[in-house]
Amino acid sequence: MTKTKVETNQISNSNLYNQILTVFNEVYSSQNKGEPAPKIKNETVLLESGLDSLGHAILITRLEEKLGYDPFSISTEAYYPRTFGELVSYYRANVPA
Amino acid sequence: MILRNSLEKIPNSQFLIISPKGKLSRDQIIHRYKKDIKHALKGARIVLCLSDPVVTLPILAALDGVVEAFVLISPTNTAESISSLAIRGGFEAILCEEPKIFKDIEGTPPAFQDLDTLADSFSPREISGETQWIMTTSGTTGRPKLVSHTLVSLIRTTKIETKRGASVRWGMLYDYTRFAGLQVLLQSVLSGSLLIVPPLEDQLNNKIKIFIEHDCTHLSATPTLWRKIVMMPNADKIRLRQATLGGEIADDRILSTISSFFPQARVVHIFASTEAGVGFSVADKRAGFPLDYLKNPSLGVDIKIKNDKLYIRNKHVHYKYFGSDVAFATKDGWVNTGDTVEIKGDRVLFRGREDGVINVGGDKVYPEEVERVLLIHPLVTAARVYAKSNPITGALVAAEVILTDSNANIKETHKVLQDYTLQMLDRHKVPAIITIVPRFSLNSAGKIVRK
Repeated sequence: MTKTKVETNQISNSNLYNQILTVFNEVYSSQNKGEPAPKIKNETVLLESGLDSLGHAILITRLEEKLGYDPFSISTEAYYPRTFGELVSYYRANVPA
Repeated sequence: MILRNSLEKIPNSQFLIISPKGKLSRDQIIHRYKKDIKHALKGARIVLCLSDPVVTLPILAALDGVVEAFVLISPTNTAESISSLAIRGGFEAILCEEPKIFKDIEGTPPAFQDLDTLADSFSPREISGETQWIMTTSGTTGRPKLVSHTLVSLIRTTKIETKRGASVRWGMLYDYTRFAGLQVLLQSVLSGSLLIVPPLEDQLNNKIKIFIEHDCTHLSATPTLWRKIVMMPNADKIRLRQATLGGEIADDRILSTISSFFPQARVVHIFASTEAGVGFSVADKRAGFPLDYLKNPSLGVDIKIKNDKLYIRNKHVHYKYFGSDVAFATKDGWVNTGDTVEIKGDRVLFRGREDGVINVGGDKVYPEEVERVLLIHPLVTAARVYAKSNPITGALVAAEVILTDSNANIKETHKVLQDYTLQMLDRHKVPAIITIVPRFSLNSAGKIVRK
């Protein structure tokens, strides 16, 4: 399963990583009265990043708007990414063909 | 049937409830209050506004079968709303942690800190019929409605198995003063299980720590909360034997995620509402429920579909709201749940709320309220608000708007409207997506989440 592989080819695919990080930072600020987002690492647990579950829900909707796809509706896998790195891997693994 | 007698049937061998305030055995619950207190309170109508069920449980055991009615309400409500509820329901006294919060609110019945002092101010009256357990509904706007249950209507579907119950330890994730929370409390206590109650205001990871520490085996939560649980690093250390979902519509993904996360657990989603009580439970780990339930209901409670709406029958609950003339059920007990459903093959699937209310992770949003806010803005000439399905909160608010000036800069206007809604609305009501359109698309008319 692709989901458990964490960021082996991060550099070559850094475009997706940066896009997701940009949207994350935007959503974080909008949900925290303009505060800049803290530094996010691959191991950062999403629900402990300062973004609550509503913020997290908004992130996924904004990512769909920006990237043009929603891996949660593409993949039927019983899975929710827990860390930022897992989230990026999940979007990478489910890019529509 | 009264609570004290039901408690007497379980063995007094172990503790039944534990919270930061302490733990209680069966006998400590039953014998906490003396007979003369119960005598004085005959026929009374009391508001119970207490934060910890360890404090409340002995009170429930003392009052059931004695008083005419009590209402459970969370102390997280404002003093004004508690007072207005007390007045509206004709309640005669309030039992709470801080009586002084009511001192400036005119008309509030007297408030007391302990049941003994409260009882001193009462003289016994005749009680007709069973004690009414008044539950509050989640009012979206304004005041909560009051639904009159009895112990019988609350536990009509509860399987009480005291033999198996002794090895069960329920974790409390709900507010016990609400219908779902009281279900967990009664199920656990009446089966002789241990109920583990973490502080309500604690962070989820702390609650999980407490559950691991006490070897919790059964948990009940909303799908939104379950999604948070499976995203917590320490949650897989809870050795669950049962995972129950309720309060919101459960989808396939969360059901299958829970079952792969907790492979030993039976995964059950329950359909219930404060008005209808518990309707049915589904254990096959799929969204919706089997069509066959219409003929063979899973818990013996009749259900039917009429004009795409789901009805549940509850013959035990009083069909009008307490202290009001408004009926929520027909006289023979059919409650319109307000949920629209669709039959697909051998399955009945939920398609949203009849009134268009959007459920954002348990918080309700009226699309009309968001539309009104958008329409006040001078740049907007028309707005349509709908639910967009979401894997984390079930749904989010989304909006389509038509601009007054069709030549306006789309990108700038979009930003203006985003900032504006963020300022004007509660967080969960803010549209996560605002789409600027020249006209509304015909098929977007439904405000129903279609998956």
